[in-house]
Amino acid sequence: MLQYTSIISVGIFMGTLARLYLLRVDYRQYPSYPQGYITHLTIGMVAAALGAVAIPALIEKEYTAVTFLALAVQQFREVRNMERESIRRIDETELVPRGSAYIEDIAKVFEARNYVSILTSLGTVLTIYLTGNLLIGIASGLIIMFMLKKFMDGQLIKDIAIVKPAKMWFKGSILYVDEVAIINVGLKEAREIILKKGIAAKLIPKDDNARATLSNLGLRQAIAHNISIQLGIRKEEDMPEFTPLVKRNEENGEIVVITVAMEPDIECLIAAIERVPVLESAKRKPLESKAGKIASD
Amino acid sequence: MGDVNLLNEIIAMVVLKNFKDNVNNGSVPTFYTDTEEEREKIAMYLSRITKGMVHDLENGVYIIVKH
Repeated sequence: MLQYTSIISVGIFMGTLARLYLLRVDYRQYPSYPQGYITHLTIGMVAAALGAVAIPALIEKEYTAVTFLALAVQQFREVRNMERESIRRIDETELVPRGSAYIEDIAKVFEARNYVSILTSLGTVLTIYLTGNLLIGIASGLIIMFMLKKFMDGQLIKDIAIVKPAKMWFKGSILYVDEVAIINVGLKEAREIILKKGIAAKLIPKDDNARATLSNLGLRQAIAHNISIQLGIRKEEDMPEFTPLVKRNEENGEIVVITVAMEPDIECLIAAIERVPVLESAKRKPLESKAGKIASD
Repeated sequence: MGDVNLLNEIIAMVVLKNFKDNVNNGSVPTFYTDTEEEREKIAMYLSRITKGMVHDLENGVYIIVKH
C-alpha cells in the first residue's frame, strides 16, 4: 500500500494541473493576466488539496473531514463574487461594455473551474487507492480533466446561427442593414464615415430555440463587446454614433450587427461573431415545451 | 459628482430658423441656426460635449439624446 503522502501529493498535483489547463484557454476573457494567474492557480491548488485529502480522511474514519468540502464550496462561491465584482468595475471603463449577463457567465465559469480541480484530484486519489498504481491514477486524472473540459465547453454562435455579410444603406437619416432599420443618425459627417468604414453582418437562427436565445439582450451586448475587442473600434467616448449595434428583425428573429471598425474586414467580423460564446443565462429552449413545439409549425 | 440621469431624453435641440414653428419650446435648450452648415456644426459640438447622439427628425430639427 502506498503512503498517503505520495497519494495526496499526486492528487494535489493533478488538481492544480487541471486548473492550469483551464487557465490557459481563457486568455481572452481574462481581465488581469499575471496577477489573476497567480490568484487562481493558488486557489486551484487549495481546491486540489481539499479533493485529495477527502478519500484518505474517509478511510481513516475521519468522517467530519467531509465538512471541509462544504467549506470549500463556500470559498469558491466567494471566487465567483470576486470575479464578478472586479469585472464589473473594469466594465465601467470599457468603450463597449460586456454587460451584466456576460459578466455573470464569466464569473460562473471561474467558480466551476475550481470544482474541476476538486473532482480531478478526488478522482486521481480514488483510482490510486483502488488500484495501488500511481500511473493509472495520473492517467485517470487526465481523463477526468479532459472530460470535464469537454463538458464545460459551451456552444458558440456558429452552432446556433448562420452568419452572413449584410448590406447597409441610409434612407434619409435612418441607417438600415438589409431590411432592418437600425438607428437615426443625424450628423452627415457620421453617415459618411459609417458608409465608408462600417461593416455589417446578419445572424440567421438555425431553429426556434436559437431564435429565442438570440433575442436576449445580454447575448447581443456580448456580441457587440467581442467584436469591438477583436476588430478594434473607431469610436471615442463622446462619439455614440460609432457604437456597434446589434438589432433584431422583429419579423423573423434574425439579428443584424453593424460596427465601425478599425479593421473593416467582413471576414474577420464574421469569424469574431461566430466565436462569441452562447451565454448560459441567454439560452432558451421553447422547442422542449409542448406549446413551443406546436407553435413552431 | 452625482450623475443626473437624462438617459433617453431629449437634452437639446438644434433648429433651422425657417423651421422655428416645428418646435414649441418647453424645457429643452433649443439652438436656432441660420444655415444648414451651422446646424451641423452646433449639433456636432453639442453631441461631443454632452456625449449624446444627434438624431435628425427630417423637418429641420436635430435632437440630441443620450442613450
